Amino acid sequence: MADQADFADLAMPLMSSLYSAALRMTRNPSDAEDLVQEAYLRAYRGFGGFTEGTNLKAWMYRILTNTFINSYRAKQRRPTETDLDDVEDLYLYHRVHDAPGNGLGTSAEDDLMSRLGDAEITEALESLSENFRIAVLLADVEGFSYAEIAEILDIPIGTVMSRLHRGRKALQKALYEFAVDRGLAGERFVPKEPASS
Amino acid sequence: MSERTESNEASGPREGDAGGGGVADGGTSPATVAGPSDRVCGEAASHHLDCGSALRDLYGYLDGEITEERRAGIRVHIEECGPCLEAFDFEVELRQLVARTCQCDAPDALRERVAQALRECEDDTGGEEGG
Repeated sequence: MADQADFADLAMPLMSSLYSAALRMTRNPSDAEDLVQEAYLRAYRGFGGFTEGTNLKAWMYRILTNTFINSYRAKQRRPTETDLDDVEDLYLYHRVHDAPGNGLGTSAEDDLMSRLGDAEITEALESLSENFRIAVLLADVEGFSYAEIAEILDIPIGTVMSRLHRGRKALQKALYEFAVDRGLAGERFVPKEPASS
Repeated sequence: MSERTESNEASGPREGDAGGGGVADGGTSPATVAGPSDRVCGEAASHHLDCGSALRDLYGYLDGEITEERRAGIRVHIEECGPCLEAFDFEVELRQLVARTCQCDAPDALRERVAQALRECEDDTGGEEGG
């Protein structure tokens, strides 16, 4: 059984990671800070139930996620579920790679990547429905395994894979739409002419 | 916690997702088995693994959730197949970009606040939950 006296030493170093996730969950810094604080207090009180030697980060994420779902979700505006039926795998890659004008030698994909700013990425992620957003965060930002995510969210591994699959598609679709909206891709985007000698 | 995960090789990480592949255009056509439409580069015969199979395992590969044998097959495939390598690289870079963008430092004020709250909590409980 874990000793509460060790809690701060073990858990405080995880705070930036938990805060980053909280920020994407709540979508604003003030709620994110409250969420993190509440999760730490709950974790501290429940630390006796943590089995030493197991994955503390996953355990903390489980508490963070539950706290978010129980306390904050009600306050959240719910993003609408996007229709993903016509969204293929590698959606963004194909949009950019197969676009007319993606010519010889130039890498339209790399170009797009360099044009996408923090705002497009965070807004795209935050536009996802909660289930997708949290699954993608846990896998792609935090690097948790499917089994760990299944534990954190208390869902079967098949559901983890399904949410990731659909969540990643939704993220790519949202990224592309933001990029098109802002003239970073699509018809309105005019690539810079390479400097000719 | 066990590191083992269920095999996702048989059907790929999709659930209620009609049709296989769907990588290339025209993936919506009904009743396609992993056929030529799954291929990106059209040179599947020369590879150990066709493009459709490689791309179906793309996320399992990037997630580290497929067997070593399949990993090895994919590694060989993307070394030989430029278009698939590009697609894999794109996904890797996109994921790194998303991860980088989403990682930030907890504000010092929050650290202080939580440390303080934990100390107060400690005082309140006075170790009574210790046993």
